[in-house]
Amino acid sequence: MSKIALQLAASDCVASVLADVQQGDVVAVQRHDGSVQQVAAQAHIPFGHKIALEDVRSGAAILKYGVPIGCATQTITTGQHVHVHNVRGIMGGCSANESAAQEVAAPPAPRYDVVALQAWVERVSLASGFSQSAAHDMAEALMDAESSGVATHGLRRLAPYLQRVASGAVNAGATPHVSGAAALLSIDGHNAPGVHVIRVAADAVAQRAQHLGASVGLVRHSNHAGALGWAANRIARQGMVALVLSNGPALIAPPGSTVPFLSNSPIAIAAPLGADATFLLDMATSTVSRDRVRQAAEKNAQIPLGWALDASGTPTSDAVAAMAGSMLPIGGPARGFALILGLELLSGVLPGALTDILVPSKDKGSIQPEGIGHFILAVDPAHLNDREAFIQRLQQLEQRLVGQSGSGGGPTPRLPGRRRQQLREQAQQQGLVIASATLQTLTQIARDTGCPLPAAREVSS
Amino acid sequence: MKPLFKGLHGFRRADGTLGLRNRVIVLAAADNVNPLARAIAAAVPGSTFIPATFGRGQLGADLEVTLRTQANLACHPNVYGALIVSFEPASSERIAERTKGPGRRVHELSLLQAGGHAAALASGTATVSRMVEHAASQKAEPMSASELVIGLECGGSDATSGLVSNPAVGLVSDVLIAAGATTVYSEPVELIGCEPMLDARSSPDVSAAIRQSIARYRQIALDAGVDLVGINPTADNLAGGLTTIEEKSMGALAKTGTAPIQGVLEYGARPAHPGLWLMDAPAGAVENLTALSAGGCHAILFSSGSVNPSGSAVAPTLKVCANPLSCRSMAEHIDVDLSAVLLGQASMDWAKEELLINLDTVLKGGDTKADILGYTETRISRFGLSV
Repeated sequence: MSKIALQLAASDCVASVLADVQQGDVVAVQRHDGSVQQVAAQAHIPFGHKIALEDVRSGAAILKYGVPIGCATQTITTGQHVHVHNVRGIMGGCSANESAAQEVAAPPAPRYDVVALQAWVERVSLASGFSQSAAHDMAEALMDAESSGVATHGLRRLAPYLQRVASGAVNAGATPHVSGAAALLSIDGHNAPGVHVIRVAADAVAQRAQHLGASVGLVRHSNHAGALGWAANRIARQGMVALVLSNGPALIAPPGSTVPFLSNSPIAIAAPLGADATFLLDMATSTVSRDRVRQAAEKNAQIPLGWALDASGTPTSDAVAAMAGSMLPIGGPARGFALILGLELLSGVLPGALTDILVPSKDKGSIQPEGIGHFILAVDPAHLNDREAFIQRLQQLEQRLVGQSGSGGGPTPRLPGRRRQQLREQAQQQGLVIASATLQTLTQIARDTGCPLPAAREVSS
Repeated sequence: MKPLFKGLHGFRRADGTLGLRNRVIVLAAADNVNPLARAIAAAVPGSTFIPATFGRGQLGADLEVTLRTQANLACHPNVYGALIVSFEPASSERIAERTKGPGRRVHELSLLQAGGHAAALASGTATVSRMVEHAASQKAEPMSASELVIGLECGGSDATSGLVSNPAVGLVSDVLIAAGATTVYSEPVELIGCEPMLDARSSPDVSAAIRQSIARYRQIALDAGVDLVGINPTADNLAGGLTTIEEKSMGALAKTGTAPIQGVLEYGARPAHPGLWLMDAPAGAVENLTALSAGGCHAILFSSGSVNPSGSAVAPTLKVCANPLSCRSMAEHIDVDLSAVLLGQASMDWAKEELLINLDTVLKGGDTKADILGYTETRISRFGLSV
């Protein structure tokens, strides 16, 4: 008897199998319109589970009952098993509605050339009073994040960064000052743009580590420095291992309290991985980035419980209430908060930067300099004649990790950084699609600064 | 086109509604007179005992829900008449008062006034047997499908519920709505994640009320230390092929078909006009069936996978199942066996027709498995603590 599957609505891209299906079985899908579609199963699919009836690209909505029940976290091809390993729920953080809407909007989104956009950001920054090197850093840091799929720290940030400069809170023309004769460096940011401060500091630390085997830079009088992975990666690309920390304005309350005290301090660890590749861990220590809550609040959308607390300290799914409350740390309220205290010690207290509630919050409209700090460590294994062997050990670890794939039916595990690198290369080749809300603010900036946006390029995809 | 449920008849009530049955109920106003009400119903074949769970020490909104539900059960369309049994007259009066508007046959009996059990039993038995006698002589009159109110329920759900039995109930709901009838579904807690789909089927006001109701049940769980979003889908659900909470909830929502949602009903309240309604009631089967019954449902379509045996005491409750194993092992509890769809031997269109044929039989007087086995229970939900 042939295996049968049921499509529950005409638009569904999945059907539920009514018997255990083995890889290679041809499944007779009873389509909602009464027709039958033959689909060869690409995997074992247990009774009641879903089989893909068509190819679904990564990020697109999975329709069942004619509505999005989630979105694909990777490309799914016809006949594949559709389950938690390649689907994320809407409350679980995917935005399938948007994906579905995008699919309806027929014309393909315009793509922009990464190099042209980067040159434009640099011109805009120069026109806004940035020094030549600060403008260069701003452009490189934002485009690095944007093309690595970290849009929260990409071009979206340009407008708020320029506003901070325009309000006088950040000194766009300032030059950071590096001092210290040995392995330990002190860097005074002089309230320059954070991306510029952290780049100057990271380069100084990298150079010193190359001479001495290791170096630490303690940075103060800095500002929001974008995605720390950009600075950490600069060090890793020179063959060294990097640890970069930063503090920031208070977003996370101590356990049992309702008033935020510490930032969701980001942490980046990077290392060379052979050829052009790097290992790159880059994350904030809140359960999700603050920007995802902000984006939900702007759309008046709900967020999953467990992301944030409202102003009364109650877990909330209301993004607007969450913006007025506090974020939840990774690892649970007590351990997570203790971890961030440790990071605050290294990135704020040790450099002598402003810390905890003393950091003025730009979210609350402050136009004071943030005065925050960073901690940068570089270790050069070449000083123990170990760089190549280190890279090899890391690659072997990666092979063992990938070799475990399939044990739980989930996606292939990979080292952090691999996906970003893939996206970066893709963006360089195919151009970048920019979110429409971001594109609007960029258009406004282009008008204000008299620097016209580069034209979208024709890309055959 | 042949009219839906051709030849349907109902018993006309003073409030204008038509009932499919002519039940006489003995309703206990409070838990302290359950023994008396039970004894009267046992003494008069053809009468139905409706127990009270509490009825004393209740306050505010909690008391109001209990009284409304009791009154709405006493003047349910399927009920010819009711005897409300109480300890002291005041506790039956406050229920009877709420039935005055609809102008129904409601009698009261106080254990205290009658002077003890023996006298009260004699008096109550006489009243109830008279009502049963009169009920038997009432002529039924033709009834249109548009006058029907049908409840939509699911419980004991498994993977087959979301695939076949709930969608089949949804197809029937669409048929009923197209015929001008009313359907009522419930269990807002099972709709978490469906909010955008519900928005698309309701006006902004209704959509806000639905969201509020879903959020309230989620909050009740949070207050008890359980995040329903965090624990859903459960390990069982995941093994059964449910990938996201949206998918799980859509499986439950599938029993409502595609009709627009008219509004959110309070627990046990009656819909104001035809169409599909959501009732704000907890998901446990017995308390949920009680709420749907008080809401005036003539009959209830109850979709189940691993089979929940419960039925309503006043609204015949059909068990609909598509799980081939359950349909074999629990056959004596199942009214509509849709497992042929799951075995690939029949279509969803067949399932819809099968369900309509079985519903037709029950609407015209046929007993359901829950009626035959006596799995008819009544419990009114609590919305506050006793004092």
